[in-house]
Amino acid sequence: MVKEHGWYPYEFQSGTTVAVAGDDYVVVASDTRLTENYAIQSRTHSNVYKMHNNSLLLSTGFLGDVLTLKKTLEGRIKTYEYTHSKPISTPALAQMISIMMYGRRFFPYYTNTVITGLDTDGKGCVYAFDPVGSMTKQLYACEGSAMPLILPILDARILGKNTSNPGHVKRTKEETVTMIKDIYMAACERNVELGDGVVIHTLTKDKGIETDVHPLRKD
Amino acid sequence: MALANVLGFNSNDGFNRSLQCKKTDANIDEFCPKLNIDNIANFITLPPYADPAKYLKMINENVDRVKIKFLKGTTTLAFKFRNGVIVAVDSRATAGGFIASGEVKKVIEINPYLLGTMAGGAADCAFWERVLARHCRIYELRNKEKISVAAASKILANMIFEYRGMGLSMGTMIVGWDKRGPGLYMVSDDGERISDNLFSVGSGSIYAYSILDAGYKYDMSTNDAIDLARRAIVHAAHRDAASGNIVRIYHMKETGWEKIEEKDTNDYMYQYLEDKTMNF
Amino acid sequence: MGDDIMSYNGGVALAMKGKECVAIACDKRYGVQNRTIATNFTKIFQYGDHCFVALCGLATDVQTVSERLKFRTNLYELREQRKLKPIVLYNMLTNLLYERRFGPYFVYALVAGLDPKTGETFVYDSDNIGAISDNVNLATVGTASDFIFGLGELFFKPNMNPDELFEATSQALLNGVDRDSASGWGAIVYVIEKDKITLRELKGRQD
Repeated sequence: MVKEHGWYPYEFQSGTTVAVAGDDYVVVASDTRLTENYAIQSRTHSNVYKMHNNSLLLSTGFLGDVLTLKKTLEGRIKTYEYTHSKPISTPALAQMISIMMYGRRFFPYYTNTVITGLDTDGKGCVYAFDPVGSMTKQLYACEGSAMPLILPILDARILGKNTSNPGHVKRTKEETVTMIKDIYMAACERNVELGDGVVIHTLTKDKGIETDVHPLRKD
Repeated sequence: MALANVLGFNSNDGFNRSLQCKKTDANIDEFCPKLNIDNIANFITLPPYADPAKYLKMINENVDRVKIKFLKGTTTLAFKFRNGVIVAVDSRATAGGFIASGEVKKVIEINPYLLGTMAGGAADCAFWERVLARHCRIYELRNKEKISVAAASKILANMIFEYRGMGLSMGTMIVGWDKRGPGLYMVSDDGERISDNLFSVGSGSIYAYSILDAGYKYDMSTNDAIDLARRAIVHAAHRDAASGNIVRIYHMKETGWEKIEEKDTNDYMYQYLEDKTMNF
Repeated sequence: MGDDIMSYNGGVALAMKGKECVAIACDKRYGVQNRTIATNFTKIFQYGDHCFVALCGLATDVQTVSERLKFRTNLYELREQRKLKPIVLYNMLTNLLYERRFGPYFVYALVAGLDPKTGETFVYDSDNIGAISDNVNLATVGTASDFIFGLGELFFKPNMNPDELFEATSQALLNGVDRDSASGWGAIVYVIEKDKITLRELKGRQD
């Protein structure tokens, strides 16, 4: 990679995250490989961060910014809880992230962030952000290095695009987990920055967060 | 108070005290803050560079190292006519050539009688129009009447003006209905604010203008106005790569705004092709 | 988009193998950066009975390379008095591209073909200076190629019949271009079999 003279505040580090919202669940996944310039820095680094209000933060990009964002956010969540005497809901947390990120409009966090959780009705919700806090509520999201490979697959599978019968295809929690596992296995064949393993978390109202780890190719 | 906090108010400032106190007509001015923008300015971190616009250009357009792409690309339009104002937008957000989202809400519902549109940086528009919504609400509480479109758009323009030359990217239209009737203003990132009967903003605006200019009449019926707006957006969606997906149409009336439709532009293209009213 | 010469005009192509059949597909957009000029610009060219080439990149070079290749293949068939084979076509194409090693054409290429006697299938791809690939199952070039690769990997199964192959190719192409602003606006798919070649037009999104 060509290096410029002078200080540059960002570095790209790999990571691929997927989040799918269901009627009563959220499934999120992240691969566990962390690379920078074709060097593998970790084979066990997950890009999913559990916030203590049971929201799951998925963030890839520059790890320094990801960790700062997460740390700041944890502080803000606590402040919110002390001021309001109640845990912050995921939609409110999403708005908070959006504004926090916009606070760095002129010196952005280099992150591709998604926040997921259950709304007050127990319905799954996924919010995706651009690096300066543009927020959209989505049915599913995919961010990170293998996003170009995975996102169109989710379009086809979840929204049934370009089929004779387009529309939202409802899946059970287990079907979604299987689908995500298959997609990661397909994507790691074509993306060098994706591999080692995939962590899949399932969030439901009754069972909380269940975690599943699957190995992927390690070369 | 939640809103005050997330927007970066100091918890000891007048705004919070005003919420804790009983408000009377006599003390309302004392406890409500002026419409100042300093608190927002304090909350936005500046980069470790003298020139923010230059810095943003570097991280947005870098070829050798990490490039940060913000969401962009749009066709939005609004025009006044006999029965109010029509607002129509597409729903595509692109980052480079990649279509990051096809379901963006580019009409921002500020309150039941004010709409803002989003063109340019998605985050810029969403954030500043959210701040504007707060200012409008404070104005309402303090003055016991709806804010005029002229005033609302001027608040936005003044806020944006503070950041002139720092790399904000937004072209927004503020649409509403007040005691003077229908209002339509365009506010852009250099602090410009103008009023007219017809605007289109965004990368697809040149295509939208071509349809609007050919068919626009102030005296047209509501249905004709909606159809014209729809055709303009559909045409722009077809010709402009950075516009497309869903067309969303709003109608601003004396009673406030009404959402007319949210439909896939592609269905309209094939429909227009079939009834031979448009050639693609 | 458009800051890179390879995505100045937009466009994408895809080729996939089946059992004794091969499919090659492309979109129909011709644009200049964000402006869509025409929606009938196909990037697939037929040379000989069962040999196809798809060229993606700068439109002027797509036309130049396709015409020069036409000239060379015609001359080959006249001079050698025999039919063109996919591997011959591929070698001619990569040679043609490598001749401009230090001032390259801005096109990426795909070759898809079939041996009408044995039914053996061929899919090759190349970069803009004629890098030689293996005979692969799936290849894609153009602005949406990253999107299509993921889908292609998912839809591809070994030994598909012509109908399955058509379906897999179309699905991969259509869903891929829907995430790319520089390609789409309809598509065409050729399915090449021993005894026939079928051309189908796909109604894609027009935005």
